[in-house]
Amino acid sequence: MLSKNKQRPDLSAGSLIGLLAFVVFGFGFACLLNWNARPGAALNQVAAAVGSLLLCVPALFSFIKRSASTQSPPQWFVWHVLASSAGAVLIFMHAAGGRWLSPPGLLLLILLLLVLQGLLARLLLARKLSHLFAAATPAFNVNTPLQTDRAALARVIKAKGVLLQQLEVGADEALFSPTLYHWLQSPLLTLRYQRLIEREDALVGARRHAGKLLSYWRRLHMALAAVFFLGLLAHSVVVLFFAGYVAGGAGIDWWYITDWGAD
Amino acid sequence: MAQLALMIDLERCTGCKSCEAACKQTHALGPHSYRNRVMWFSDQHTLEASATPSGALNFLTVTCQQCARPACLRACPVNPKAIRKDADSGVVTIDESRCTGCGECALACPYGAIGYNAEQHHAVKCDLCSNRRAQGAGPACASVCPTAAISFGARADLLAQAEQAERRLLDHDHFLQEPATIYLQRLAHRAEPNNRPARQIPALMADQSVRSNLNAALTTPTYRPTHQQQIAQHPVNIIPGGCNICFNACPVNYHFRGNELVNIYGNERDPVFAGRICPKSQMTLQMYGSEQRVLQPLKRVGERGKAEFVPVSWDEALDDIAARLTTVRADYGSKALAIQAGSRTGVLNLLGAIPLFAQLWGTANVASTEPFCDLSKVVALGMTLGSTMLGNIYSAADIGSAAMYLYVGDNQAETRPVNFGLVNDWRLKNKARMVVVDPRLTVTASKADRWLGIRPGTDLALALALAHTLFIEDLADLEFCRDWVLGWEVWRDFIIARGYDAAWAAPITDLTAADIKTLAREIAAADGCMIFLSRGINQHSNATQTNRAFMFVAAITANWGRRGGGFFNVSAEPDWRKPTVPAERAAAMAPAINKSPAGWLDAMLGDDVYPLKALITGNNPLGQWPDQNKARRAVANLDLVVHMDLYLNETSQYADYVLPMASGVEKGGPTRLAEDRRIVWNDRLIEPPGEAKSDHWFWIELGKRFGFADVLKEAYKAPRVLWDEVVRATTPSLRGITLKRLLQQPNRTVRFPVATEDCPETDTLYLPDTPTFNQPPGKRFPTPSGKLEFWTEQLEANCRLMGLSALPEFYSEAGQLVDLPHTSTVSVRDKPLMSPFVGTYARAAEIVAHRAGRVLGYDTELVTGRPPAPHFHSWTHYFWQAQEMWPQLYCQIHPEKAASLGIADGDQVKLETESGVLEARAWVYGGIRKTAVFVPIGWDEQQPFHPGASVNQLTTVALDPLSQQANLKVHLCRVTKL
Repeated sequence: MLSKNKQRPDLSAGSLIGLLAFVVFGFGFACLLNWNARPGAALNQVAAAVGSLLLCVPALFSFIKRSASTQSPPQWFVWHVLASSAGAVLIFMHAAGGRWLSPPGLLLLILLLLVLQGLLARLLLARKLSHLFAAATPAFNVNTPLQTDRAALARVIKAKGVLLQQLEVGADEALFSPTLYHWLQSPLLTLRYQRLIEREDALVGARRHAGKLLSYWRRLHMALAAVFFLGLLAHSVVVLFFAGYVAGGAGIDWWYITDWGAD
Repeated sequence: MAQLALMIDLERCTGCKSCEAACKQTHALGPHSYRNRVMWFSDQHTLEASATPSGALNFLTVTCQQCARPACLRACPVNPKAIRKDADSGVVTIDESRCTGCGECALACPYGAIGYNAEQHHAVKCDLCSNRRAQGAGPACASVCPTAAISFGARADLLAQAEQAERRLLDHDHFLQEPATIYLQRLAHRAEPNNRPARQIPALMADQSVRSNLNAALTTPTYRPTHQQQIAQHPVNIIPGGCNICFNACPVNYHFRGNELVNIYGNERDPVFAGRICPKSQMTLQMYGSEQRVLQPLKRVGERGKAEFVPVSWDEALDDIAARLTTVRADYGSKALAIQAGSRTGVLNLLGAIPLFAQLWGTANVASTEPFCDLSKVVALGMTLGSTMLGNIYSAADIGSAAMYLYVGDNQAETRPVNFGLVNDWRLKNKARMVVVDPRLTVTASKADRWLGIRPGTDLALALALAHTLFIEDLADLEFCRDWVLGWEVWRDFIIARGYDAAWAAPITDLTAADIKTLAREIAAADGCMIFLSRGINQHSNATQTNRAFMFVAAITANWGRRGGGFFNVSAEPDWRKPTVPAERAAAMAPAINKSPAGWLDAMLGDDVYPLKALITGNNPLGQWPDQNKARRAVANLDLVVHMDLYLNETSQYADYVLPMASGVEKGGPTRLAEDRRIVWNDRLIEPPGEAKSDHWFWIELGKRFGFADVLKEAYKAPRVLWDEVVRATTPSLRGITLKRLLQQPNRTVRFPVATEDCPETDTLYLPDTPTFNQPPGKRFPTPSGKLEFWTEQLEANCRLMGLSALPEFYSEAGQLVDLPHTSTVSVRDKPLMSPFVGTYARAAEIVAHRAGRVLGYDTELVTGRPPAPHFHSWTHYFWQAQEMWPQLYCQIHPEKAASLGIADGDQVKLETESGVLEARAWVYGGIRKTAVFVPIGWDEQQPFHPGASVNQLTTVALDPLSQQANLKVHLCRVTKL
């Protein structure tokens, strides 16, 4: 399944299509088999627990690749795809009998969107990324001179340099971008630096030139993932600690810790 | 260590994409993955009259800029980053093992210089060939660049070189990333007006959707990273040889790992080319082992044209072919067999196995591609020089010392990129002048000082007017004329008496009289002018006379038999002699129907002095021959068609047998003829795929079935034996080029003529006071008179027999937008005659006025020719990378013409002539005559990736009365938007 060259693990297009089919059929089967099952049934709770743990792998991937704690980020990328696909199917099993028009139902839709977006992006946008090569020929000034605000750029770069000496002394602005460490250590300073980066990017315009689809799919993916994880966290807290509130007067038929919120 | 960088000279770059080919083979990059890419910018607006051509076509190699502030590196979200910058060399590299394939680097790079491997999902980028640098070599792109447009070194050194050469640098640091890559501006850039509209990348090149059918599954092992990793354990074994595709015959090095051919680079030990090669040489890697190859003999089982075959054994195929040939011979005589060998077939067959077979069998109907390429030049040289050995060579002292380069109908930059790279380099270093005469502003013209957009087919008028001006203005070298030119006074008097002056030629050629006179004066004033002609002249029905007229211009300006001046028309040939069989073994032979296969069609249709009923071809006639609709009827009418080729193509559809053939180092032998008289040898280095065989193997095996084995010997299956004992031994100028001598050369190359193995090579021929090969002392030129011959009684008598004169009376083609004289031939059945020039039946002609064509609404000149450098006829259309570079059949059309027809760049258009219809994609381009369109050759409806109709769907059969060369260059057509 893995098209693994000597140095770098990767999921081939065939593998990705297989995963896509797995997720789609998994979702279908989950709906078909569990349409009237309760999410809180023991088996579905186990599925939810395992699925949630698997869905932590993508979050872990995001932290690990930014924290200098792996020799092989591509390996973690592969695990994040596999784990999120499997986790999603398990969550579908858990939720198939639940109500879609509810906060957990919305989370489920986000999860489905995340998985599909990720797989399809890898499948369909990869070729578009390769077509960015040599697509920015105006930058070479062969024909009409390109109009960029070099003075404004120079000001931003200078400001970055000054700020960087507070963020990380001795770092070279030309090669520096904030890591997870900087975000944890000096969030406000890092945020200011990040805004300068974005100002520079806007002046350069490379991302704009690449088009909205290529430029923003990954950002959207990460934003959706953040929303999902916050939602997942909230859902777990609510069902575990506010079981009474969730049950709304009915019987609590799932494992919980406290039943706060009961009438 | 100093900052390393590439320096890319936009004045030298010809857009050939050799750097792309080198990069992909070096770094195992498949379709859509780039570390560099050459983009074309063409003017899609009307060019100003008499504007400098510089800028109408520009080429830009996009590659990593090795920025001091690399945006790609900063954008990489991985920690530690997958992209790093070497503190010493400044080279920015990507560690693919750490890349997650998020694409942020590609999005961040404002130069679009980060590639992406869409199959393996990771970024790729230029690291200035760190793998090669580790072994002491430089980047592959710089090593192969045919024009030396790419230099590599310490950035400070490169900047110093640029400053010394007084070159202006392109300012492209718009983003303050401090790019290290240096671009040198075009020389004439500063002269261009600021309000000039921007050039566009043609839709043909920019539209990636048409390349969606190219993917990694098409690649051969060289282009697969995992495979390269696997074989990296084997040491590299380098074997020299030559590229077997075109006339450059570039010396190359074949790189093997184990038994596997993994790379093809230029041979840096060659003193002329020094490792420069074009993309074609490199892309032959995609021929060896291609899944498109024919792997076993195929026998037709369905209707002709339906491509229904069954595989058979070689024995079954050969036995049946022999039986059917026997039937043809019994019914129609041995002369009913026609044989056409192609460019792929090779010298060992063209001048070895095939002539032997043909003589033993008894047919004179044997042709190569010469009647479509340069037969008119061969005939003209035979008449004038008495030899096909052109005198000049590509060296700094000879062609490199010219003060002027005049290209007429020769797009050398795209057809022989390496030789043009040498010329372009010399003209820049020596500040020599370059003028290009061509209906299109070709890549060659884009480098010239002046482009003259001549009406196609009227170059004879230009040559006559040049000669007229030279005489009238007393610019001719009369001393040289008196000493070395026979019949010059007769020509001079004729030209003047006819009034062939610049004013006369102006409306014919569509050039101004002033331009013509200026050109004549420039030629005369230059201390050495190289006049290059090629297919733009040769592929016309007036080609022999046009060649002779330009030879005359060269002669009366003393540009013969000197260094730095001469007449040139690709390629130089060694005065071939065909091997003969013992008299008692030679079968009786009737004269050939025609020297040109284009003249065989009537015989195939049963309407000639005798019928042709069988064809064995190693070519693709049903793409190459003019008037394809008629050609298909003719071939379909044959009793037996045997097609020997690498791939299935249109001819295969009509074949009774398709035979799998070998090529290049699969079979061994000399390459094609290098244009400066060089023979380059290839040994047989790899096994052919499947059951593919060499062509000479086929002829020897077929010969056995007719009892020819005593002459067409089994031993000749070895290419070394066939060369040494037959081909080399037969032609006097090659006798010194033994295998032993070739194999002793580090570039496997020897220049002819050399009479013996010990005889040193000669550089420039026909110099005064030097011996001429095979001629008695004092005889400078190998004609009967020892002079260049333009008019003699014998020449006049021979020309008269064909309906013309040895004097250069002007005529053009029938398909013109203005009334011009052209030739009309009489039927060979009514009046059979033997051509004194080519020794076959031929058609006499008369010069007539003509007014047809436009009446039918054909209002546009259709010009044909070669596509850009990565393509060569049909076989590069089976290379995935050539398809990635130039995928679709196109039609260049002037912006004003396009606008009048509502055609935008990239639209599909239909072209119609009296002969047929064709569809192509429009390329709106200001560098073409307003009245003309250009469609390239080489496409075929059966090609696997981007099939297209052959442009010969649109051409008709019109032959030069003297040489039998067909007009393929100009017809009238109609263009409409689809």
